[in-house]
Amino acid sequence: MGTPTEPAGDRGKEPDPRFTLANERTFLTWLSTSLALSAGGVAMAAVSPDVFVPWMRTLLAVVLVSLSALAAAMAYPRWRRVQHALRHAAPLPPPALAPLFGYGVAAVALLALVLILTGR
Amino acid sequence: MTSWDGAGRGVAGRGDRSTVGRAERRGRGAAGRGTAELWDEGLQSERTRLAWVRTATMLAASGLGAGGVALRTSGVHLLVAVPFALAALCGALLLARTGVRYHRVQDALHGGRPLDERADALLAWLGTLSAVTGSLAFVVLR
Repeated sequence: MGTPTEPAGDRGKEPDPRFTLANERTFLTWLSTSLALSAGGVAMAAVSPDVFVPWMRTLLAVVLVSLSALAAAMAYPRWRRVQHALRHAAPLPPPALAPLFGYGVAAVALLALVLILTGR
Repeated sequence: MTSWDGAGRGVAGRGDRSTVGRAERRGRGAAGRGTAELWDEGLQSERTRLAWVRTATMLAASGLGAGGVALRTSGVHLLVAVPFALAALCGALLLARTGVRYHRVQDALHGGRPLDERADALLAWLGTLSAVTGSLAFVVLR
């Protein structure tokens, strides 16, 4: 069993290994999320032109891939920041971008649904 | 229960394949290599290993899949497939390193050493960034 983190070590203490591993898994999950969004964007862009209106299709694909780029770009810095916070027993940085991903994917899904229902 | 092979086969034959049992047996059988022992009830290292496998598989698969799509789509330059190939390569490297990484984590956990390996994480990050770059290029050029 690992030793639990002692509070308020200024020079930083080795955190509980369970937290280190959980942080690592969260980092990997951000990367997987980014890859899934990228795959969605590429699939949307590769769909045949007569399924969706072309500009709409491009817009949806660009939104998906932009979200994916955002998720990928922040993953590593965030991993390091969380690890730093763990070492110093500080509060974890807030998941500031989480709502953006939620609303972004919801918006893309809604638009796609509208496009499917209207047959364009 | 002294010999790993004998015990393993005997118990497996009776249908008992619990992870705890296997870990205990292997831990006792191979002296000096306690890395297969459970470190805690939360299966930390196993979950982390699976997370690595999942991410590396996604990286390899999306690299290969999207690269294939990019190559088959007319009007998209062949170069767009390069970042996808890089991503697939990173995924393959990470998959190949799964066992080494897992044993390193297990050794560190059991030896009480600090865990903070960055090389694999950087490789995974670069692979993902590469895949995203390819996707951006594909979506914009399509």
